[in-house]
Amino acid sequence: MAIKKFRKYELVYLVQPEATDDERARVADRIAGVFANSEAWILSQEEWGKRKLSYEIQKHNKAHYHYMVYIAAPTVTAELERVLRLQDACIRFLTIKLEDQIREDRVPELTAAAATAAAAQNAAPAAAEA
Amino acid sequence: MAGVRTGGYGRRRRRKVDRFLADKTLVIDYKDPSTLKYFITERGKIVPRRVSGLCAKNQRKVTTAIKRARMVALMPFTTVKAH
Repeated sequence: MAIKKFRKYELVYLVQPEATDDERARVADRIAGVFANSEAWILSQEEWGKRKLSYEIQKHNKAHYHYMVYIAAPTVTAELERVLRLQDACIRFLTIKLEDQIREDRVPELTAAAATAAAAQNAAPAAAEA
Repeated sequence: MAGVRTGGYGRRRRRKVDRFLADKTLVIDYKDPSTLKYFITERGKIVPRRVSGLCAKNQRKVTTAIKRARMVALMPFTTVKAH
């Protein structure tokens, strides 16, 4: 069989400002659910917190911003976007393709690099405090 | 003659610099509206290349970045409210 090819994506999604932590966790759960059922690797995840919107979206002036980078097949991204559309709490999302044609055998290397980068990020503030 | 502007009484042109070529640490990213805001007018329109002074490649990158930033409401489509 041919070598499996994946893509690297980044996703920004906006959750309603009045959503509770529970509701936001539910959206995150749905996303995790999509990944759990398929071959996908999350490289990094960030919360940008509640930010002011540049323009009104569905009568909201603020939203919780979430950001993540992951590797998956295009079909997974399609499914992820379908799931996000079904979430009423999610008012906007944007997926950007960062890299194409990632051979299966390169995935461990990329996830490892992301892990060390994340570790360095966590270590840096800790060192600054010490 | 069109296109040819010699010195003297013609309008003096300021030398344009591509900020992204001048400062290599500066990256064009839609997630960074504080950098991109220099390339939109007060009304929110994208500044043309003849004004921004960017090279063609970077102008294209800035344009896509601004459009992406607009999608996630990090930047405005317009600052004039529609009613």
